[in-house]
Amino acid sequence: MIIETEGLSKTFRRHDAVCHVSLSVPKGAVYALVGENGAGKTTTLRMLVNILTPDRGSARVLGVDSRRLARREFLRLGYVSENQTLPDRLTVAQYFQYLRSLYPNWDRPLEAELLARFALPHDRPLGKLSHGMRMKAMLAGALSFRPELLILDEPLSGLDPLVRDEVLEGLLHQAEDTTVLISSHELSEIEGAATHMAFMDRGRLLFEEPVETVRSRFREITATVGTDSGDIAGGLPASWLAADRSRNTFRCVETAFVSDADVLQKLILHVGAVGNVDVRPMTLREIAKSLMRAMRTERSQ
Amino acid sequence: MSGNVRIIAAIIRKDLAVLWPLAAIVVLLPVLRSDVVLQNLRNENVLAATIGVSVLATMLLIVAVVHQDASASLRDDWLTRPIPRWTMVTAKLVFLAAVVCVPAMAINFVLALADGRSVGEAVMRATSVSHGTLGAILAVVAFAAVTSTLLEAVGALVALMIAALVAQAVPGYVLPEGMAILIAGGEWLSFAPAIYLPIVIAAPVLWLQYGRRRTVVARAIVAGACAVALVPVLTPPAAMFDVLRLLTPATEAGRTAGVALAPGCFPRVATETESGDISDNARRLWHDHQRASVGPHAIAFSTTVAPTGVPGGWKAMIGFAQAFFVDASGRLLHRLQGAHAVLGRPDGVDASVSATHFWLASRTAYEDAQRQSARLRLKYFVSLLEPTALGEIAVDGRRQYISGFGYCSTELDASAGPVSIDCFMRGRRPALVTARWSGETAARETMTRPDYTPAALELLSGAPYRLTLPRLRSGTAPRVTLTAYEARAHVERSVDAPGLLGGPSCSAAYTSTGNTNGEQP
Repeated sequence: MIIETEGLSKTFRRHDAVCHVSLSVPKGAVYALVGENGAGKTTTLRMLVNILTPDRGSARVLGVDSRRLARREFLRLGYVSENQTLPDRLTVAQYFQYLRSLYPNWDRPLEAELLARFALPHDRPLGKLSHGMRMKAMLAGALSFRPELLILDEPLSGLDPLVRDEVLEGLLHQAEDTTVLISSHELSEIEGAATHMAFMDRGRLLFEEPVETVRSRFREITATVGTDSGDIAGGLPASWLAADRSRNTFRCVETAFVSDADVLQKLILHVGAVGNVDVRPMTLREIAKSLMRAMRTERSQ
Repeated sequence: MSGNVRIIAAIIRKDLAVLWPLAAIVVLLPVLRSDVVLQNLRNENVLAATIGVSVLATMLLIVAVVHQDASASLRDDWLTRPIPRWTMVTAKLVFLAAVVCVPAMAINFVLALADGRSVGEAVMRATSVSHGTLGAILAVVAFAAVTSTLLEAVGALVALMIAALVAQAVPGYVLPEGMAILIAGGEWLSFAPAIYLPIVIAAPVLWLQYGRRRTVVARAIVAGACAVALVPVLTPPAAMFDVLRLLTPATEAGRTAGVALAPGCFPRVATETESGDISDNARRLWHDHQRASVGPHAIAFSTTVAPTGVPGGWKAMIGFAQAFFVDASGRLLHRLQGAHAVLGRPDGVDASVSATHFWLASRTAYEDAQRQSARLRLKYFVSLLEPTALGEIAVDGRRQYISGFGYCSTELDASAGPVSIDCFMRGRRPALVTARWSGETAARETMTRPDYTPAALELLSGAPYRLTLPRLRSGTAPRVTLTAYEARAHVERSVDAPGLLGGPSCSAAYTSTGNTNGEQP
């Protein structure tokens, strides 16, 4: 594992920002850490890169305790955050000249390629770049030394679709041999690239799995039910999320899908007689959205 | 170039690229602050503005350069770059040394040479470290290290200034006496926490902040140091004097020396008018708040005291005095207001002969003291100084090194004004230096302001000092004798004066064993 945490916890003024998070990121993975704003994703990533010190638990990053990350590890680790503070008065050229002298492993042709790909204006101060341009500059600065591990904290947040595609394309194009840990509350962009997914809510890690497993066990179920079917409020399987019945249509998200027959059996058992049953695979984005909605409903109850 | 040196160079280059306008101002400011320029700036407002801008720009640069790569931040780019944290600290300190210290040293060196100083003296002047400046720089570095934005740092500094102002407004803080301890040689003690605490805490704060990223603990240390630095402001001068005494082991002279009320026109009594106004003299002697505190019909009077039992050749400097009305059992009834004009000793007054202090008592206190058959108790804080070095310099304008006094020269004034002796000394300096025309008596000597700073705190620092002698009537080219003194004891002595206002006549000397005959104003 290139990242491995055990019981990682952080408390801010009695508020458990991160609570007993144990996650494992395999080498070569594109690992998506998903959760709503305030779920604890940023705090977790900051602990991984030693910006914050965990109150309890531990994290090993690149084989080293995160609290002991030093120059040797940072030569192999890139970090980009949407709210990163850059030396705003430096021009793009000055910034990259500065970065170059920090990394013996800096790949200058790659830097040139990334700057050209992202169309970054060399002579413009970083502080005068648009949000999208800044993200591109940060990404180029994090990719140009070919890191083994790239940790991205909401890198696509606030970007317009075109820029988002450009950033993502640049990232995925260059990061073939790189393990990527990306936090996001919006997954559609990395749908095709993510190999693993973890979901956080209120500081806790609810699950982490390979994307294929996640995809295989989540299904959106729509069934036609009889008008005389009973109330669905109680006695539903724990694996069903967001169960909802309006008139003669029943909808839910099955989080432990095995087979269509199993779904049908459960529907008959818990909802009553059913007519047409539609069992549809879900995208990661849909899965994430339904999980977030379910957590929100749980909180409100 | 090794890895760390390359990184330091890169960080400095980056900081310079961003901060060069401010850095240029700071580099040039020592020129503006130099004696040569300041002496030509006749306008005091311009002078004050120059110094103000100089200090502000330097503080701003320190904060800005540290915040370029803030350690207290959770967002700064450098936090996840391959930069060892101590390399970052080193880069910032090297930058500050290169921009703030080295140019100042170089300019001081050049200006000293241009002013006719020898290379040796110019080197000494240039390499002297002002502890106050060093403390101020490190204080701002510490402030900047534990904050992540200019707003935070300025906010913290403003809060500190407000705290200092509030502290001075605390009831019980006695400004005239507070001033007295500053002027009477205890200045270093009053400012020591503010100067030396930043020097002491800078390394631990940087270690906690950069090495351990323990921002809360580092901030607590900075806040604690600020609180401690304010302690002298709240400490009564008598307690400060006690600290001075503790730091100076008493010698035999300290046990034998005393004070006695001196003969002469004593006491003098003045009475206020109904409206609370007092004479112009009194107005100059006491602060408004002192006069206000005693109300109308207050009584002003003076006491004169002379040291006794002081070994021959020694000096007794009266640091400050206090006066009280006490009852027969010695219980304190009322404390009198001392005049700042006398408590604050002007340069050149020889306390070995006598010292006069002026007091102000409210009518209520006076009448209450009368009813209780009280007496006047005077308390004096006396420093005893032993001569340690003797030197002589010809009044020929030539600069020369005199052992124990540093580099000295006399300034010949063609307009027959006073002759000034201008010296510069690095390292341990005498507590007091006196000057007199060779062959003249000590009665006509002048002296520097006493300074009882311990030698250990003067190691790397250097300071100029100047003495002025009235010109001799004869036109010969005379010589000036310099005497250096060191403090050997600080003692506290009390005298019970006869009567509430000092005594019945001007003809008798009253010592601490004198009687307590009263006198009506």
